[in-house]
Amino acid sequence: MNTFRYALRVAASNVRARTAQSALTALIVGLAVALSVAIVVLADAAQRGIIRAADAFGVLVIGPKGSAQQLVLNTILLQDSPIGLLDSAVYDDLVARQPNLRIAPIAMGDNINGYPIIGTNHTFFELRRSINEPPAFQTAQGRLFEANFEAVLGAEAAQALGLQIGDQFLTSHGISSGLASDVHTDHPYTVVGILGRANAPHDRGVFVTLESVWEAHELGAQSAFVARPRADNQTAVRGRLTAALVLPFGVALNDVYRIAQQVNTSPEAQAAFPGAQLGALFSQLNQGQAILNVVAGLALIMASLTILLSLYSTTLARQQAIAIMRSLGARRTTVFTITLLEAFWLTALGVLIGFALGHGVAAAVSAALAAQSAIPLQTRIVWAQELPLLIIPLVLGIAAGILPSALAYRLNVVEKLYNT
Amino acid sequence: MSDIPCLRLSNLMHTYTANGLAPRTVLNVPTWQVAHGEHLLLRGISGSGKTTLLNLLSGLLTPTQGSVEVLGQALSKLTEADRDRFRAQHVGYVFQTHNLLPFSALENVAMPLAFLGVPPRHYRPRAAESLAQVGLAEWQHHKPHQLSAGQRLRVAVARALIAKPALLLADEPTAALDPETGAQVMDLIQRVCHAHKATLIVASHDPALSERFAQVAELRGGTLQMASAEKVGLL
Repeated sequence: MNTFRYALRVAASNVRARTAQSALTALIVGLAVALSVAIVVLADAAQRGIIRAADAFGVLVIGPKGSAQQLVLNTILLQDSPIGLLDSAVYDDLVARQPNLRIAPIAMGDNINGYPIIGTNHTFFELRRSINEPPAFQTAQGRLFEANFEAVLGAEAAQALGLQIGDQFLTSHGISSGLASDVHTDHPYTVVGILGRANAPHDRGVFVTLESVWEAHELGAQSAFVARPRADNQTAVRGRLTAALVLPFGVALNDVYRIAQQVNTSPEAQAAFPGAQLGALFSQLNQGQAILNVVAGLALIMASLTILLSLYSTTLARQQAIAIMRSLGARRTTVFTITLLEAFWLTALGVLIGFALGHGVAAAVSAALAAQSAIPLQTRIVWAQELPLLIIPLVLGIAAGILPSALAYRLNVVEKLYNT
Repeated sequence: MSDIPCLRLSNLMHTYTANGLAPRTVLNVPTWQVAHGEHLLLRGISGSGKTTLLNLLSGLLTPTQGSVEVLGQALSKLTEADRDRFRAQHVGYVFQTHNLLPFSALENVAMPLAFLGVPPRHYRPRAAESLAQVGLAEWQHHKPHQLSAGQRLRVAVARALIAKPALLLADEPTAALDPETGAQVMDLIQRVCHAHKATLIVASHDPALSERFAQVAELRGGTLQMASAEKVGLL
């Protein structure tokens, strides 16, 4: 035991003695480990972030026919473009058939400096992550919109746009900031409220009435828009929507499936379950992650080969030192162990570097992505997936040390002792 | 001490076989023994087989034929691992090039004990004591490149003696030193060996060393001839 502890110390001293070479080798291992760790940590953060961002958005998204995934991504995560327009008759029909159903209509298509204008009604602000939680989107300042061309800003949008209550702004056509000619100069909005931060993509949203959106596009007159206020603040609408969110309150799950089935039989509309679509998205992400894992695995193998090369050349250069140790009483197994432990130290150092670097990179990338998408991406240590990423390189590194260790083991002491 | 000599060689023959060349016998010693506590100078020109003989005595080399007994133990009958352990316990070896590793003087000196499995709390004070014995108490933490040639040799001596070996072998210990430093180091080696009651065999072609030894053995043509210093004309 004492000899093993001494071998550990000698191996550590040997690694320290070749500072530059050891640091470089450990760094190569570290980069390979960092790649794997960052992939796992980012995937975990993205998955949790998307679930967190999506979990307030009801059980069903209704929209025009097309890609269900794009419908969910656009409506819930504010990614990608709307897939088209949905006649509000579909919405009206649902409201008429299911008076207890809480449905938030959504009409998108304009933006202010890239921040999306979301036409909706007050039902949207009833969205909550669970029945026991308060609504996800609540005003922190001011009030909700009551009239057309009144706007309520998401927390992120308010901060980025620098708008305050009472400020006015113009919107542009499209989902991203574009040409000056696209600006709706005739329809300025007035800020009446600012929402508290919900850690969701809709923190980037600018909420207005549906009618404002239509009127800005001169659809109000064309669609003979009539707003009929209802006692429950749910407004019957006419015009075109990009989607409608069905809230999971006041309706049985069976009814939700029935509604989905019913909508899906319609030639122009579809109903998508966010959970199922996000599950499919995660499955695609996992496939991407699997490819990246293969790349990371190859990087780890290359790093192990680097350890092998480094230790092999070091062992060749240090044959006399090994012979000296043998002449002082070190057994073959002891010098074998010392060389193998050098591989262990180098890899362990690389793994530590990789672990820290991987988390650092993942945190930086998460912060950048979160700032861009407002999807809350918070990294954490995912032991179940990271532990193998730390152990496998150690095993590979030690395996890479076997050949140089065998070289040390088989060394001809007398020949190398005088080989100055 | 028992009747068993410190060293006994019987029918020793060692042959080197180089690639493509005929085997060359470098040592042929029918019988030779050295008593406990003796100090002996092993003379011979370069290439006469002095270092080979020391390597055979230390168990680093196994003879082609015959046997080497140290403290009554036939080295060839030991396994390699046991031979390594035996060497660490009973044989100190001061190499011509000192063969220090790039660690501190203390770590270099402690190495034989560490390889025997002695725990640090025991080998550290002994290494410090051994260094103090050779006058390097203040140099424990210096690395070889921070020491003079004489100091490096002292570290090598301290290392060779730390396990209190019964046999100390020194290969050309003064070769890299000026005469004055060489004399000081030889004083030290002999003094410490006397203190440890260790048998000392110094291989050297330095004529200045002959006057220090009552026992001189000459290697010539692979054979060993024992003579007193006077008889070989060294004094």
